[in-house]
Amino acid sequence: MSVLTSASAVLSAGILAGPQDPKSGPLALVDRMTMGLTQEELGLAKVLGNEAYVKHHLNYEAIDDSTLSTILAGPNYNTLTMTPDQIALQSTTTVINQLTRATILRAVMSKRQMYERVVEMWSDHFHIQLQSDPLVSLIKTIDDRDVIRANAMGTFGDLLRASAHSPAMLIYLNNDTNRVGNINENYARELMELHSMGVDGGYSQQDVVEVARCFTGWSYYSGSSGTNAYRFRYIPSNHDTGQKVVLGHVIPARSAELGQQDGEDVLNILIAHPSTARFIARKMLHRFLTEAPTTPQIDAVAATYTATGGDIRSMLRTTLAFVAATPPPKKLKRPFHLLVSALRALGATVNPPAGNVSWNMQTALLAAGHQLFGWAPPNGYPDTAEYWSGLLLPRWNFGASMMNNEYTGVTVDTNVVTAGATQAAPIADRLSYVLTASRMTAAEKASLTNYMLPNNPTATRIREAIGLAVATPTFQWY
Amino acid sequence: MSEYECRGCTEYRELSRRGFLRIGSAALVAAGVPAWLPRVVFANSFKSNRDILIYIFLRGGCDGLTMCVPYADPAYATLRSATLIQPPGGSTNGATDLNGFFGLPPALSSLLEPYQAGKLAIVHATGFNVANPSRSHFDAERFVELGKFNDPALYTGWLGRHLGLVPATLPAAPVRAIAVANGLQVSLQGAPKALPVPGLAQSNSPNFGLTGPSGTRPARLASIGTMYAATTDPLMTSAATTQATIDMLNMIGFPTYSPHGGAIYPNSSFGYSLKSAAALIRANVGVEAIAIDRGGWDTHSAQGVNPGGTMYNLMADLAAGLLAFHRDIVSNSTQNVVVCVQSEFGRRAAENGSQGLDHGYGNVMMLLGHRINGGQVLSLGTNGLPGWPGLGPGQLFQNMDLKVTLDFRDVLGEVVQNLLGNSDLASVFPGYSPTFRGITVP
Repeated sequence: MSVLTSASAVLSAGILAGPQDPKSGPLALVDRMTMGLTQEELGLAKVLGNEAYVKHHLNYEAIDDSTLSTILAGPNYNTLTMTPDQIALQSTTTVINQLTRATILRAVMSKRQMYERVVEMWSDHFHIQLQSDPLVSLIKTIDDRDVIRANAMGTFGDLLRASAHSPAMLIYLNNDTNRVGNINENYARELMELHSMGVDGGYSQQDVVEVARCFTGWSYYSGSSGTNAYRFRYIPSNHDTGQKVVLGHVIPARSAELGQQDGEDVLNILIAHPSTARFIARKMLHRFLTEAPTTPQIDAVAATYTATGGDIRSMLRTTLAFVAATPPPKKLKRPFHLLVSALRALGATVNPPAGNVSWNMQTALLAAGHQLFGWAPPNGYPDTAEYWSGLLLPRWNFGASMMNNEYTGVTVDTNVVTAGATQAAPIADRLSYVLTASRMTAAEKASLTNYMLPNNPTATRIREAIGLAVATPTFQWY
Repeated sequence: MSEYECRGCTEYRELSRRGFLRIGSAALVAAGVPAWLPRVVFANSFKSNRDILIYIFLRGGCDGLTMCVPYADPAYATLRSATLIQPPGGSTNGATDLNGFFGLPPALSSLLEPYQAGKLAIVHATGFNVANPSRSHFDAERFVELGKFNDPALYTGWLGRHLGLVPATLPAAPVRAIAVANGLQVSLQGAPKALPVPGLAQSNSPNFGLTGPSGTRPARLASIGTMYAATTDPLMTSAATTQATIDMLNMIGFPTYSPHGGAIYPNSSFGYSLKSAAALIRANVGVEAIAIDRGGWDTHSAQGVNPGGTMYNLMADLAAGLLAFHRDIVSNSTQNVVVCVQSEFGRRAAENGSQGLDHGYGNVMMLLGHRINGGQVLSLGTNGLPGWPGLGPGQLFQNMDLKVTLDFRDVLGEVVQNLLGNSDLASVFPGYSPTFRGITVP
């Protein structure tokens, strides 16, 4: 009874606050499903309606993305399609630059925005630090393409299996040297703690040891293996052939030749484990709904996991239904998200430099603590306001630098942004509209207006005001 | 000597508090900064009896059995092969003896200087003394920094709570705690006036300004200040601290800071961090705690304790930084400071198949400072008396790891009460009553 009362009180308060809560419905979906709103995206959401908009983005293969794919098919991004043996021969700096710049371009330009958001989530979940190892620097591109992007909208089981067979992951977490009689627990532990069950998922130190034994021999082909080089390889002579017990399941003693099945069995056990369903459900809700999902919300998404065999699209559908139903609590944009959302809303053109030339916009991300794929430990960048709210200066610098033309290859057409407005207050209104769908506070708009007074501000003054608009508190959230 | 002159140095223009007040106020007035910005009015004279804390966290779980080698434990040499540190004497790669039982590995041998000077103490077989410790990096780090094991309801760090309980040593200080990191560490969560300043680790000449045209910088910062003054936390407080700290940091001559005592900080992010900390300490601007992260200690494979190896390089960087700080500040400054070095857990006693070590348990801490009872390796046996839990059969925790016989909160608790001037240990370390072990000088 008290729950109903308080719920209706909240509802009434919402209704009293205005005719329509601006955070519900299409706008909330655009906020959560894209790397930043654009008027085009918002228009699409309104025309399609909530359900069809979600369907449109989950069916991402059907969305025409030819402008972007043409750019990425060009010579500046030639390493993205290479095989492991080919990419291993390239310049490390060039390979890293191509992957990170392609990631930036995709986030800014792709019409498949939800897909990019989901890719980003899995890139954090199955995090591999790009600079952790010279070989990983080269073949992270393979993992990004063949593990994360290939399975982002498939099933969680396929994704987990692909990751477990990925040389970049096996090297990053030292399973390439995990061998019989002298195991290395690193991958086994993180497989359960970070990738599937969660730290409180109900495994013991003995389970970690047993899982490590199961994965003995999971490694990769050396560089002298022709076209097999740096692909997954099971090495029978490194395998522990004894019986193992994992989470109560007996994994029988097998010959070295058949021993790869031990690891496959472990993956199947983990994929079917209820702790995995809940851990992945919580992760997804945290990313797309709120930092503090409720037990019923976790139950609902976990139930979808179980009912659909871990179908990621189905889980996303359940998650996004919560977004569409009730205005979700705001989340703080991470620095990359903030930068990309500014570029998108302002209609910036982005032409990254090619090859091994450094790029000052990437340096700005580094200064903001969000170098792409740069987080050192295997748990991926945090996604909490607690972590990111401390470092504000580099966030303020994004707008200041962008509008001072400091980022190579990045241009913003102020005439498009202002759309004919020439006076301070209308320009401030226009900035609120373009960047936040008119959600800036009166105080923020007053600050922007004051900065442009007296009226008829110069072009320079307008550019600086746009930079300030990117720094507004409202624009830090989504 | 007037306050505007450099005190005790000609090469380093120390930030004058009154000078800062004057220039700072002028800048604030010119920028039309709103009234909520903290007014920087420093006391005319300031000398706190409380130590400034430098809290260094070695992330990844450092191998304490390498950093302070129990070479005289007969089991040690049976557990290690590629990662073995030879005993003192015989080999060129041998340990440097400390007390006939423990030794420093070659990469840390330069720490003998502060050790022999009585300023560096090492605590061994320490960690969370609990029945079921965590071997997860992320849980173990979080629990250490919270100062309590596995309490989901606790969100503030031990250092943050400490700072919240004591008055600022300098009431007008713009920032009381600095995280040399991209985000506040868990240990600092809840601290008043705490701010991440990663730039302190990034070069010898860190830049703290707003980008864009310099002519309009004050006006743009003021505009941002106005907007954030009207927003909510966490951004409101963070922005206010940021604005005040930018002014302060830009007035400190980091690039021209010249260390005392012949100290040479390494050209590494760790070295820059400690050098920046030294400059902040000498600038006397009221910073009470600086938290520095040094990652890379998760040596599951090819730990590398010999020259060129991964852990050798990490330790050499650590030692070079600590030695420089010892010479620069501990030996040549009247400001009391204490440096605490710790990690989330130690590593497995026995080497794995990759010439590395998996996650373990008992570990070392290092403490350096004016009022540290240095020149000792403090460790306890399983009976709670001075001794060593041992690495032999039957002596290891779960038959794998060095035991924890001395809870790290005993050490930090003593530091908090005796050096940081806060006796409310029940709030800093809830649910635990630290036993003082004589790590500080009475």
